[in-house]
Amino acid sequence: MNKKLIADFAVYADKNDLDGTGARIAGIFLAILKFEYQYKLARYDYVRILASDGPPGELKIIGVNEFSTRLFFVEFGLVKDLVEPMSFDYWLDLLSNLLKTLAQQENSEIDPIEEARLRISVDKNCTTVKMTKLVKQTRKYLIEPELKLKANYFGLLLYVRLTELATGLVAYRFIAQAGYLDIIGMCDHFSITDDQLVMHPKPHWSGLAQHRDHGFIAPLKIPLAKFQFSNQTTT
Amino acid sequence: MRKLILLNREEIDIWIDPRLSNGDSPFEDLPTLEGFPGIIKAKEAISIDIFDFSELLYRRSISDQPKYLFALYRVPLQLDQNEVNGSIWKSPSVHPARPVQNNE
Repeated sequence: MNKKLIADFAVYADKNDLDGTGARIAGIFLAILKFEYQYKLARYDYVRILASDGPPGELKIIGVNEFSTRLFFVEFGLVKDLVEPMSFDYWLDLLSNLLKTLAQQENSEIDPIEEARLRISVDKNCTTVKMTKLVKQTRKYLIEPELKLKANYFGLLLYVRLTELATGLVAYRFIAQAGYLDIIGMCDHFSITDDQLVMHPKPHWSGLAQHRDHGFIAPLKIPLAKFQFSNQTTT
Repeated sequence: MRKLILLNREEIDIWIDPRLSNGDSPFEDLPTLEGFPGIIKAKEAISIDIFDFSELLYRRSISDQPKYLFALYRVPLQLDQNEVNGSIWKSPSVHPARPVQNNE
């Protein structure tokens, strides 16, 4: 059985996910499992989680999409009253329970899911995920991107740690803020060209047009002069 | 003083939270602008002092109610211009596509 890294684990709760907390936690959950644990859950690539009018809290496994075996659907009855006051814990529990249910069905490991849940729960104010697959060393620099989930911040935050190899000096800089899928789309790989850090988008990123409509630039170029190098390893 | 003329192109009043940025901080770490978050009326243009900032980021609602959409928007502020024009564009979610006309 060929299990895969999940490409997208997304919540479609519509107006009920009022501040996007469900979507943000799904994003960081997926980032930890994918980038740090290389966790393979199942044969499908996408898990779509849809709010339903079913009994509150009930998870209903719909299964793979009839047109594409890459898509897997789950519905859950949303406890509407709990969403706002208990938003973070509510979504974290719901998403981890869902992942564990799917892992049991697929005979996959549960421990990585629990470890990820614990990390997010403990580091509630700031969970950091190293995007190990995107780490790159050029002739002069080491480029290390990281994703952060911060409580009450919109979406996920992308930072880059840049190490100047000759001197060992380090700079740590904010790069972008967006939902998980947009971060993944805008950030295929990094390069350094003409004294600028360049963040290249994925070649067929479906969100590129909307990203530009919202006023953002891709590929994003940041002059190295805007990185403040020091001998401290700030995070 | 550099200025941004920000036009609300929506046909409805919009609640908005605009903040000036140099692209090096998350939205929530930026100070709010005086008088905001607040409402910009339909088709209204407002003037914002932009100092030496390179962009304006904003989050908005799809009405005059204080609810953030799950989206972030950016207006570039060209550093070589004293007066920059920017727009709050119509949101597709408030303006659904028109039904296809039946020509029969």
